Amino acid sequence: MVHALETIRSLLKPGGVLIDLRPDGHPPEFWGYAGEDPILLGYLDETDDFVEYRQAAQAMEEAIENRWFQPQKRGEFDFVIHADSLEEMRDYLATEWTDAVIPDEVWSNARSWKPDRVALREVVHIGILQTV
Amino acid sequence: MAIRLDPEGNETRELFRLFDDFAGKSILEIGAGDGRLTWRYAGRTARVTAIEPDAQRFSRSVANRPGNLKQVGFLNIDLTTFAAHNTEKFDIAILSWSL
Repeated sequence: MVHALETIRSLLKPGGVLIDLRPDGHPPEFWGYAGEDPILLGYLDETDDFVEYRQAAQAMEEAIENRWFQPQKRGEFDFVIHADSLEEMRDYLATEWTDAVIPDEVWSNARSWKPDRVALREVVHIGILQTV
Repeated sequence: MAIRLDPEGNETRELFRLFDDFAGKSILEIGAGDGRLTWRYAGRTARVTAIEPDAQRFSRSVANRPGNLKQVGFLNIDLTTFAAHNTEKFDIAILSWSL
């Protein structure tokens, strides 16, 4: 991953900008909506992505230490995927997020609370960096 | 209804709050996926080269291309191979959930 950042730097003009969008590495949350207030159903299980996002954060820190890039701004936002049911969300994840698993706890909570729709919320960081 | 990805527009709202100097710039987007983010910012730029190594996502990005965004070129290629053959220098690189 550090090598990838060195490669990206070589593709930028002097003073070029790198915009890095990346999940923060915490488990995404399942929310159920049944009426006004959303209910936390549980958390997504992932086998690979958590590790990779944390490795990516370490690689970025190393690139900054190497003075390849200088941080300019940072921010974060909620990226939310909405579905009409947990089954619909499961089918979507099966094709787009293949290492993701919906834990039994989430299914159990969904059966108990019977949400009208569900959402998967993930916190994503944005870093704006400039080549040094 | 189908699956809805970020219908609130949080991703581009935060991106443009932090950085909105796209006018006239050349962009390299790495890991463009199905083009979801690409189509949201490309209209503000001079030119976008978007690379995506996954063949299925690449195909969807091409199929989903809005007709008015002719300045976007999509390539089904990984970063290492792209860099080995590329001779252009870009103003901005976007790592889109891909490092």
